Amino acid sequence: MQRLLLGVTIVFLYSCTSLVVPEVPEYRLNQTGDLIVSDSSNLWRFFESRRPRRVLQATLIVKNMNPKKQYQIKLADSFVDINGVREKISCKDTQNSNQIQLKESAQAKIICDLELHATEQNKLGIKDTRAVLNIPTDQNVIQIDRLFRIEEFQ
Amino acid sequence: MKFRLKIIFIILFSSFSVWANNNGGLFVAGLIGGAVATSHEGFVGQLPEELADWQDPATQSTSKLNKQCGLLTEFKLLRTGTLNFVFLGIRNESGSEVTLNLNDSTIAFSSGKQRTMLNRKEPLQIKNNWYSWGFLPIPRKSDFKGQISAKVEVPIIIDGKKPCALIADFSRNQNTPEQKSSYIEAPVRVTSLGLGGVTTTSGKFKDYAGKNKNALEVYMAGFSEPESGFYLNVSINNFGDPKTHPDFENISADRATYSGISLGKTWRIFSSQERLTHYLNIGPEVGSYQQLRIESDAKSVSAFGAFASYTLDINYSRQYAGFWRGYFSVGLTPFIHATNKGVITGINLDLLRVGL
Repeated sequence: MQRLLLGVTIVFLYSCTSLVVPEVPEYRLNQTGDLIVSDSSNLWRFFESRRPRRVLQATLIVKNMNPKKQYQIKLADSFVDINGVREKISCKDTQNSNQIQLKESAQAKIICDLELHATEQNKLGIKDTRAVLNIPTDQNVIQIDRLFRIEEFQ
Repeated sequence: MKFRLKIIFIILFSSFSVWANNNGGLFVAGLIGGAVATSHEGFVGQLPEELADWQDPATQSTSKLNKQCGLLTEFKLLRTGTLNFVFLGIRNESGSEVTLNLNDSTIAFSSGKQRTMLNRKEPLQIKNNWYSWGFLPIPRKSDFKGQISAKVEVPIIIDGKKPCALIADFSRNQNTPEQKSSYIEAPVRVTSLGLGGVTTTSGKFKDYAGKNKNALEVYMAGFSEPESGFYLNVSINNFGDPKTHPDFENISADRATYSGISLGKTWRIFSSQERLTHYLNIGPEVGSYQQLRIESDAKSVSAFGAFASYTLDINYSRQYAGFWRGYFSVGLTPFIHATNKGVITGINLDLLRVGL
């Protein structure tokens, strides 16, 4: 019994250790025209994964820097381009709407549900991968670009 | 027993050193547009939660995006159990190298109180078209209590000569209640090692037990909320000079122990500006009473029931290492094992309690 208790204690302590060994978030800040975009810190890990099926809820913050102009963000038309292969994604705002009227100098949050599968066509995780998240607006397209070299998957 | 204790100590301290080392570095920088091949070793840390009551209701985030001094900037207010800090993300589009004087960065609250951020790093240089992100620890989490706004200011120098300041204004959402997790300095994980003695036994334990009774306890708790969480308690109660008993074939034993393991709910209350902490732990327990004989097999009977303890914890030290902040404390823990074989009560002195 005492050996069992000692074993449980050791396992518990090691599990605590693994909890405090943290993830490595990745971070980007970009500007497309008047729009500043802060992208999700877990986007990198999502693409980096070697799993054939990947699911992620990515969060983006967008700010309209123009004090005189509004933007319409067409979340319904969002897609991700992986090695030239286009895949549709689902993006919503915090009110569960698929369209944002971003007012002058306003800020908004976009939540995108990504579910990607590695295929023969997109070669996700199989060869060097360029992944571009595209969120169209009425003026331009917000793009979040990632390039992954195959050795970084290993 | 000494060997086992040694193992527990080694594991305890190796766990803490991993935590401290991994959080030593606060900022990283890298070239924008390239594959991320920067020294991530310098920045290893779970991205903590944002302060819930300081979020903008429209974005459900504390994020403040801006372009200032030629830099794209993002500020956020984040928290761990024991510390709040500012997350600062930067992309340098100024056309020149910029220097961040992180040691001089400040936060000013609506009450008028101003604090300089905790930072032990040298000024950070960011070349044109490079990006950087990291944390600025705020010295006292309790400064946030009752505040309605806070202004963060990070002085920078552009191209070695032109001073400027990165500024972010935060407001607490006054339509939601103030969150204790935003201002109470409460360790998320608490571990302690207690040594003490059994004071009373009843039921079969009284029939079994001899004199010279002592107790050893390893206690671990995790808190999802500042004032409630779950604990795991492993205890070994040592009975010297055990009595003969029919349950043990009336054979005299050399040593006897009751070992119990309990997993349950814990509540805690802070007082005296977080100097004193009160813990109440209640949960089910399984255990085993064992009589040990020289040159013979040990014989044991199993037990089940409930465990309860109260701890008065006195914090005597807070440690800073990067943005890591831990508590060291001593505690006094009366406990009770109430099982189908009887009741054991006692009191432990928690020689080493660590909160992270």
